[in-house]
Amino acid sequence: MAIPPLKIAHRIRPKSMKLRCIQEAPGRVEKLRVMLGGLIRHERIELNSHRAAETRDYAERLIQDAVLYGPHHKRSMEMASFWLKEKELVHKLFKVIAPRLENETRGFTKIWVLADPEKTSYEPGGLPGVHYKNDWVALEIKNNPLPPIRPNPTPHRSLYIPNLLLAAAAASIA
Amino acid sequence: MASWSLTQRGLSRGLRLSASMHASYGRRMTSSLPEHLRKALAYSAMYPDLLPEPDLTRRNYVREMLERQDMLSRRRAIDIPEFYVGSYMSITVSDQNAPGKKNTFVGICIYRRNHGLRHQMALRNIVENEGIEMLYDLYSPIILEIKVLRLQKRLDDDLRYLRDALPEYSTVPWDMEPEPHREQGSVPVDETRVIMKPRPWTQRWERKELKGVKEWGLEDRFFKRAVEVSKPWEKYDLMKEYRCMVPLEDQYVVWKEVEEHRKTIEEEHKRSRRRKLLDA
Repeated sequence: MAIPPLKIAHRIRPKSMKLRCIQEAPGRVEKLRVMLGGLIRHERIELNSHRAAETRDYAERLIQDAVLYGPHHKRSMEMASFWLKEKELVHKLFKVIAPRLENETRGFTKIWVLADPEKTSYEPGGLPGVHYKNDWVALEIKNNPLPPIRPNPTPHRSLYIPNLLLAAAAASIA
Repeated sequence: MASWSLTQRGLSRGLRLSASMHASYGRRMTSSLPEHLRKALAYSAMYPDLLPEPDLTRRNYVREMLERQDMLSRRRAIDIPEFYVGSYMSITVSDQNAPGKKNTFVGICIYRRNHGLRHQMALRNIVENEGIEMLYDLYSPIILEIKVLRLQKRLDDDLRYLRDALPEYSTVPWDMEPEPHREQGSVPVDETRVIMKPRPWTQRWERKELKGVKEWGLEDRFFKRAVEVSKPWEKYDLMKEYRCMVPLEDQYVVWKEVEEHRKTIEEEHKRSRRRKLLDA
């Protein structure tokens, strides 16, 4: 199988997703299937950055094959139907997402770094529980119909608080 | 046949060209690969030694370039024909201690390994009822001649299981003459399926999903265990597959040089090979 290069910096080695209570190898596949299905269905999902990076590589490969070879290529179809359990998602991949991203040159997905969600309690009104949502990111397919996520605009360097203080100190000395 | 300029254009425009080529060819062509992909696929089977290491952490682009120069200049000096795992071959090396200062070994190529100048191939044959394997560096300067006696592939890409099969399957006659083969078209596949010797074996071959074994001579419990430890999801692992391959962008750099080499040097080698066949 000749594989065209991916348009993103993919992971050089696979990393463990630290899945508790399930066998790593088939459990990993199951988890990836769930996350890929969610990504194709909702077009934007929120998850841990480790799992997002792992899922992103697989999503890129799936979409690239769908764009390049189309639904009549046996192997691409086989792959899509393995990773996406619901048949309607396979249709969506080939009929909706692949035509939409046909002219994309810099990757088909995007990762946005989000603020970690607040600690919440398991009981209403109780104390907050353990902080289990670390490194929270949003993984999305490009050109989706959802409202866009804007990154916080980075302030100019002169507006950083230490720089403001230093500038004020310099002004008071001079 | 598309020219290399087409391939270059495909490379410079990235994937989009091949996608639009598909669209223009319509439904008829969609099951087959674009021309430049198909060519890269054929060459990577034909010259696995010229491709660099697929592991990104071990890549060194300068070393690869220098090694490729050395390999192609070696290929200019001696005729290294196209061969595959499963081909019958004879290799002559210079050997100070042998009578006539030459030593020839004939056998079946059971595996090829390593990338670049370190590429090695193993020949196996039966000598006086003893299985003998010779491991040759393909680009070693002591190699004087490489002849392909029968150009063929086998059902598997790795024939190390012949060590544990009956000896008749790895026997190649020492006085075998090179058989003529078609220079164009696909390589014939020898569909011999072997009979294994009784255990113990060097490896657990029943777990390797081999196509070229007819009779295992094993109890059922071995196959049950093989099913238990098998990893059927691995063939769907898209990224594992991707990490085992050299990206096409890097392959094009290699194949462009190879194309030039094929036009000039290999044609010359082919002509001299034909002349030898006619003279004999």
